[in-house]
Amino acid sequence: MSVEVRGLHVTIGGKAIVRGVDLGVADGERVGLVGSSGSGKSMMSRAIMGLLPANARVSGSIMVGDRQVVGAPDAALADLRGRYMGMVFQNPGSSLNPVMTVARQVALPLRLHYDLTKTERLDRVRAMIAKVGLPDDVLGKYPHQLSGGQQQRVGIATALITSPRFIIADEPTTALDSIVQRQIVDLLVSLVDDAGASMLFITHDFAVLARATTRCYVLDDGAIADFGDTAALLKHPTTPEAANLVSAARTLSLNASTLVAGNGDKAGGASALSAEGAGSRGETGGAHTQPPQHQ
Amino acid sequence: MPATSMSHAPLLSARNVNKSFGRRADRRQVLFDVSADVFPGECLAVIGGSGSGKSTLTRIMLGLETADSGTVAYAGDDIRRESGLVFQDPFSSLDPRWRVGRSVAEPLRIQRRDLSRDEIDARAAAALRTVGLDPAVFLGRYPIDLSGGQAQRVAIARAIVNEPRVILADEPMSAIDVAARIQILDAFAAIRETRRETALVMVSHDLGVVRHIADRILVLHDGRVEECGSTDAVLGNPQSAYTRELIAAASL
Repeated sequence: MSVEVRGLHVTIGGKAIVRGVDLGVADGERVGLVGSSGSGKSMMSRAIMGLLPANARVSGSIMVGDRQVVGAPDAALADLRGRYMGMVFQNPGSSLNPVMTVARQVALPLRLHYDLTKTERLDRVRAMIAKVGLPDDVLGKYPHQLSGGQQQRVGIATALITSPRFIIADEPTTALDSIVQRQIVDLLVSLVDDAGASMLFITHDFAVLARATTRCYVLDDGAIADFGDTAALLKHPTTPEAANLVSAARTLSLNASTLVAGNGDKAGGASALSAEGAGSRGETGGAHTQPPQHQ
Repeated sequence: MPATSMSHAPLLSARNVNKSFGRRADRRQVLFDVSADVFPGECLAVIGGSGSGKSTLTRIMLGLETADSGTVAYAGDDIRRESGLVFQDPFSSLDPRWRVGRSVAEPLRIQRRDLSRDEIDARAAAALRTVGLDPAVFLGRYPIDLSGGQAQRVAIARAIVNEPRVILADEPMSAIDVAARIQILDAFAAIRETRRETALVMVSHDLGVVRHIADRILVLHDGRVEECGSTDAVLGNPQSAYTRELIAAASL
């Protein structure tokens, strides 16, 4: 299912959070939205899902398939989300209901939006749980009995149980350790591709983005600063905002060259870090990161 | 740095530490005969996935938790007074009602009653400068007015203000956005430059982050030491499949 955002503005309490964003996800495409905290990523995802806070003022257009989200009544939005959209959130521990078993949790969207018998529901839930790589015995468990990675697999199963045509994944791996992060990204990508659905993947981490998406948008201070092919942006970021995020991701990742070259002197390594400076845009308020003193 | 530090006696030394949580049927052992050393002036990274026991091990070494069996030796007086702690989420570890200046000065106000108010203020300001925050700008701010990276650097300033001999940083970058993680690494690098005897124990699941700062890496997996060696050795010539998996996970 395609998503077209045109000239989107979101203002909350007089503060412009999203400022004139154009963004498109084609049918079957995996697209990234990357930005630092406070760049407006999460408000973008809430706007697309029609879940903005009541005091938000919205203008512009968000077409999900052939339906307009901006200004749509709540009942229409609930139906759109329930049948066509799947949402995967950052913290599975708090997005899963702690007093529901995995089986009930995953079946919930089916109960709310589809008219199926109990047996039909359970069959679908079982098949979904197997697809996300969990053993059958998790069905009777509660979220607290699962690891973070297992919880996020349940979150993905819940998001995908209705066979949605469009998935929004908002920082789905940020709360997980690095090995599990990679497993979850790979799982999400393969399930989305198998279903022929499209996905908007939201993150602050270019390294994750490179694995999850083919095309991406860089969001900075509520506006699109850069967009294009993910691999190309990673190689040649064209704007300072994109360069900033790419350089941080590169600095904090391992690659063949760093391993062959060895790390050398740690203090020296750290100063290279400062010089890349990467990241460190000037502090609001005028303070600047001081490079370490060298002898 | 490792070569010189290793010739000293360790500052902290854990031997054959075992630890379980829960009781009866729910009892689960999280550390199995774990031994580890921390030398003065070094940065030891304790690496592993969720549930590997890395937080439990380091908390036991810092005297924040007790082992079921095994020993921890500290070559100093009182580890609790001589250590500084940095946690994952700076916003929940800073009091939202306190200005930055008060939070940073708190350890001195409690422990150093011999210092004058002016001296305490001066040390808090110096600690902020070390982590790259201008005291003139930040001393009077509340946590709500800080970005995640700034708040974590305030927490680091608080951890170093009483000149600890060892700093434990437990996943100090996991909750911080990637661009701001560089600033946190810079802050730790600056501390290591200005206080060469202070040991830094950094708990993390991410080899890409710690390779910039760690002299040695201890890899924990399911409560057991998988391997331990210099950063170059562990990254360049990993001895276990699990370490190789961690390296793959941190690769771009």
